[in-house]
Amino acid sequence: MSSYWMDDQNNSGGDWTSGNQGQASNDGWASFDYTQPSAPIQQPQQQSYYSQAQSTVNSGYGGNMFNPAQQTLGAGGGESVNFEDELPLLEELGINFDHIRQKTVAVLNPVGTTSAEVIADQDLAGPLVFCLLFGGALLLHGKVQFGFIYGIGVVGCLGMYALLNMMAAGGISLTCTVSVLGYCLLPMALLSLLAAGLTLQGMVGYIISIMAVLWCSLSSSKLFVTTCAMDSQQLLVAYPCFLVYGVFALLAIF
Amino acid sequence: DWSVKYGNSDEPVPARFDINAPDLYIPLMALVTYVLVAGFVLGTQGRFTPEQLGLLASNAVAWLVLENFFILVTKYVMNISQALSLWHTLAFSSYKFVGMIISLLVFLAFGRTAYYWTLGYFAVAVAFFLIRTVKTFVLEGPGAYAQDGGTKRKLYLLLFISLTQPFIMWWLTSSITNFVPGKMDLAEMAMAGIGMGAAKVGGAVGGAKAFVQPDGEVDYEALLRAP
Repeated sequence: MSSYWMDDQNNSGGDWTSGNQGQASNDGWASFDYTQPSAPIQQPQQQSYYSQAQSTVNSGYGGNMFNPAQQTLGAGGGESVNFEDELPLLEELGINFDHIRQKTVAVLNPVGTTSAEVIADQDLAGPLVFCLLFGGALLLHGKVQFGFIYGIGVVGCLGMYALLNMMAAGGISLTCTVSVLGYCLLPMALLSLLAAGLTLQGMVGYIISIMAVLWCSLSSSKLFVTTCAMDSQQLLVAYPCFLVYGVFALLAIF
Repeated sequence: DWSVKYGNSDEPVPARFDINAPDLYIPLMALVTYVLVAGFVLGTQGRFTPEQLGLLASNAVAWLVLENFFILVTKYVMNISQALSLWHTLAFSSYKFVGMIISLLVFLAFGRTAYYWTLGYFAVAVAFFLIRTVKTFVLEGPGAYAQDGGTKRKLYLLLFISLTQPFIMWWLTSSITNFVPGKMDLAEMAMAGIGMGAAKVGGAVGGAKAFVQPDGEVDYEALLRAP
């Protein structure tokens, strides 16, 4: 998120590291002074520019800090520049369709690999769609069980969050757990769509369901292991995921 | 060798390095798997609703809590409170769910007789395992070198723990496995008591079977409306 702020300021963040222009972009600094505390992580040779910029900016304030229209020297009046400087709506909402597509493909292909930063983008839009799809498919079967899906989902996510934080060296955040578990619900949604048409009670149905649950748990354990960097424990993570998705499978079959 | 290894600071070594150290992963997974397998067996009998999952889980957890609370109180009453900590008894008392899961799966595959034999085997196995492990734990563990060892009392506690396991194993699985489709004994007995015998005895309304629903419940409204 902080990168969005930096881009917003007429690349003054980028100019920050290229020394000589530190003085010239002071006017860009003056309008957004609260980003300056992020600067001091830099190396010592840039500390001098920081202190120079600091002194110039401090002397240049003079009480104009809260009037953005007077500070921006961009083209046009103050308001139109701020409007153009706003992020596109999807970026501001945090919905990144490319990441969503990549994660869905990663789920649908349980033997492929995916990069850790795609998973670290913790969005809940995809999981919400997949849960509603699962509930809708159950609705086709005559079972109005949205409450049970929600309850089992919450209990499963909380349990998984607690377990992963105890098992992994570095922790995992709750939204990341919810996001991964929600994305890997896609095969269960497909299974329940299948159950709406054909009945899954019978040996063939049980075998198909077990395969779908295995698919879900393999994908989710692969995503968890990639995020938490616990390599040799994938089977230990896969079993709890198997249990969570097994409960959803029970809802879909019976 | 059943003893638990200890590290430098006289604390037990983590479960990663010692095969005998109790940890809560298997117990937790066994509990949830038991709820899942029990729900699956109920589903094959046509008795599954999602509420059943909550009922099964609450039932199992309630028995666990009751058993561990009993052990805790007994420890303090018998003055051996340093023998076995609560987490260890929680872990040890949840190992019986593994046997219950396999018994239920055998019931699905092979029927009731095989289920009873498997249950008996796992009851004996769990009792043996607990007696061996907990004896080592209690007699050589951190509380063993107290002034009053209380060995006899500790062994009584150990025997009590080991003997409650088979009972709870049987109690929790029997409600799932004693379902015989088409023969609701209690309901039919009650029906016979109010004068509505089995279908072959007669009765214009088709006997008792008309009012018994598949999950064993009696449909009282239809019964009251009958002539």
